[in-house]
Amino acid sequence: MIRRVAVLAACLFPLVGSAQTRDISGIWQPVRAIEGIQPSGAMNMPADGKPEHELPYTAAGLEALKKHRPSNGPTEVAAAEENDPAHICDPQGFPRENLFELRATQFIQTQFQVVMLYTYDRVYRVVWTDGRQLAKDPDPRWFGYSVGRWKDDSTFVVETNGTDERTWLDNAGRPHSEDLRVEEQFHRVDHDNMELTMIIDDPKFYSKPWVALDKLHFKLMPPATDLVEMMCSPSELAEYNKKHASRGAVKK
Amino acid sequence: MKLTSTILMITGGLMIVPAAFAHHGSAIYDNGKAVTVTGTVTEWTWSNPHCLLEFDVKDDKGGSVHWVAEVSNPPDMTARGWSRRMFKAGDEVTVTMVAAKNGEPIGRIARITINGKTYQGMGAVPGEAKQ
Repeated sequence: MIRRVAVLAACLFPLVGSAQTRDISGIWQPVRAIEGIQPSGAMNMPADGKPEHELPYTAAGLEALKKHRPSNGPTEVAAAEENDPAHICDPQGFPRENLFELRATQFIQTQFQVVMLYTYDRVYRVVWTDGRQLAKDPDPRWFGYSVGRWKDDSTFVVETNGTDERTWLDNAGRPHSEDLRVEEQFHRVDHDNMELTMIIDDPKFYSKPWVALDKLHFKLMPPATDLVEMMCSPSELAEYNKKHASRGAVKK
Repeated sequence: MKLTSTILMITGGLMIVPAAFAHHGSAIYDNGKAVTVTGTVTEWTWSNPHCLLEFDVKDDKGGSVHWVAEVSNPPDMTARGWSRRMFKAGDEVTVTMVAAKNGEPIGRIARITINGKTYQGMGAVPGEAKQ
């Protein structure tokens, strides 16, 4: 009897525990929450002052960095003195959506697109998989333009350009220009596990490409998982700043 | 600012690096020193970007100091066992926190006790091993 049940289960659920073929649909959550939140900047290159995490800025990149006053990282300032655009509830944009507050994310796969539904601010991205190429000189958008292709049966590669340089790369205030190109590699290790590697290529601000995420580990959540709501609300933010943040910056 | 004798100042010799403070950093805080106070809750705000607990602590002059202390956002605090209804006005709480460098009565809660139950807030208590 037990053997029959096992055989039946194997027929009904043949892919459980094994690698999926060209499929990343489902709700995926970083295994270690802190690796998704990334309070000090890109997980693989946090702004922690260590020489190995120093980014290869160009002169223009350094100039842009100086204009940013983050509330996290080695150059952090008090909350009331920072100028993080996301802290006035501007869109985080891309790639910051992957480099700060990356939480459970639902991937919906259609014949022409992969749609990513993010927890933070309930935003979504569309990655076209219909064979189109990235536009050569697109008008910038908060989340840019993305196309995807299957590198092999378990690795989905997304390329993005046309991002808006008003957005920061990460929570540490790393800048990017409109020349930014981002490559994401979603590698489905097996049915329940996926890794994300993300490469930043912005020759105007960085002298060479650098790896922002190196195999960030996601686990597959049950399909009935109800994503939590986490919004940037201007009125809630104003209340927080009035009651708390602004008082911390008062010089005495 | 001189506070009541219910305030216990614990100075750790070790600078503790805070855990995730998702939005706003820790620049305003004296992160090497914990402050513990007992007071009465006046308001609990369960919202983004950070939840805020307000409470009054009696001082030694017969008055009181109104504290506003933060923790992280609702999703993070839910994961730590906190909830929207866990405090109400009039509740007595004992709060261990890091306080602002500038002396303003604002802080970030590392640990809190209410009705005999203790909850972890954000980050380790300075001077204590990380839990």
